[in-house]
Amino acid sequence: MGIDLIFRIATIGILVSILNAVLNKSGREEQAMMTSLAGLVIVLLMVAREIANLFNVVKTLFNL
Amino acid sequence: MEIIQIVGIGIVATVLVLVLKNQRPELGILVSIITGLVIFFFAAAKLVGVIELLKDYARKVNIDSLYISTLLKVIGIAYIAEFGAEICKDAGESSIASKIELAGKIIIVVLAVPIITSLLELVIRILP
Amino acid sequence: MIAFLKSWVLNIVTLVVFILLLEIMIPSGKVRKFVNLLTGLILIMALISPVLDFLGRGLDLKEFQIADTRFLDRKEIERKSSLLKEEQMKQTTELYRKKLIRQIEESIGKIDGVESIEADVIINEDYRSDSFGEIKRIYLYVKRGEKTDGIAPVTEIEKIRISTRRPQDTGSKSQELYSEGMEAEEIDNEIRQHLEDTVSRLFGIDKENVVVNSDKSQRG
Repeated sequence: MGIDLIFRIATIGILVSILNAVLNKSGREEQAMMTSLAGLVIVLLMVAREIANLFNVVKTLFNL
Repeated sequence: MEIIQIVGIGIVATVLVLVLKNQRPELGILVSIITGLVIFFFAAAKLVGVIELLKDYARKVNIDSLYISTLLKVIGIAYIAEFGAEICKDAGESSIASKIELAGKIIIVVLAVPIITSLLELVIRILP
Repeated sequence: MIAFLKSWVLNIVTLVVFILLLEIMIPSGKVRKFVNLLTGLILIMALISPVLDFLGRGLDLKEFQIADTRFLDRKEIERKSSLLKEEQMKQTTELYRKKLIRQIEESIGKIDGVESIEADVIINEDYRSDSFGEIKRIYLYVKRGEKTDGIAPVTEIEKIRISTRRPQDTGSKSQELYSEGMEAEEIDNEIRQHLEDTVSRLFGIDKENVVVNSDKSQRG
């Protein structure tokens, strides 16, 4: 947990957008679509775990 | 010197979000969410000790635990509700954001109901 | 008088400091107004209720809160039963049951002579019926503390076992043990009565439906 998570997600984002651009240029729209979707899902999973973490922290902190 | 770290994280993340926003706005939102989480965790680690201390003090002068637990719960709900609402607002979904805020308000009022009723009961008992 | 004033003032001062800190901590959104409302109410309560206690007309806030939250929870779950599917309904009911158990354990844990307690609740889970969510039975497994008139619980329990296992034994020694066992039972009954009273008052059910047992692990 820390700044590396931000960098990781940003890197995935940049990579996906580059891949997307390249695949689009070479005329493989479906694959471009798939890569962007996969990137989104991976990042979403990472973020979801952290959000669950946040909820747990708040729950214990304020004994909800 | 956590504040330097936090400000650094904030600035770097803002730049990253700006880079991503043109190409993939959805990933930009995710980066901003995760930045918010990281900063919150920094703050929460500090907050744990303070809250424990305050609870200890409240126990020492024996304040009714009903008050303290309700107050803390309200703060927790407010934090989570605001967190969700801000994210939705950032993504441009201000209607969802206002619904989240509404739900947060309602839940806070529901928490307040036992206090309100016992206040009314007190008033009834004061009057002979 | 001075002690009363001291505790009153301390209470208020600590609460005000607490609230001030919370006001700083609260996020600056629309929720803020409502938090202010709540803190104001709490402050009024803290101002008034000690005076009433002093006049001998106070009310037990804890009991009040338990009764109220139970009422709200039950209404909520009744409402939800018409909206949710069966599977979700089971989960919600289970959650409600757990909450009830926790409330019971919290409210009883403070009673004198009770060291620890485990509760179990049977509620009406048929969500089509009118009395859905009503408590049918409460089981309490009580572990006795050492406060009961200085009788150590371990030795006392040993004696009960001896007396019940060999009731036909007519030796003078066992006679003596038997009487002591009876005394312990009586105290047990007192606590039992107290527990039944408290629980049936707090949760609004008949006394017959409150079943108090001693902790099995202790009785052997």
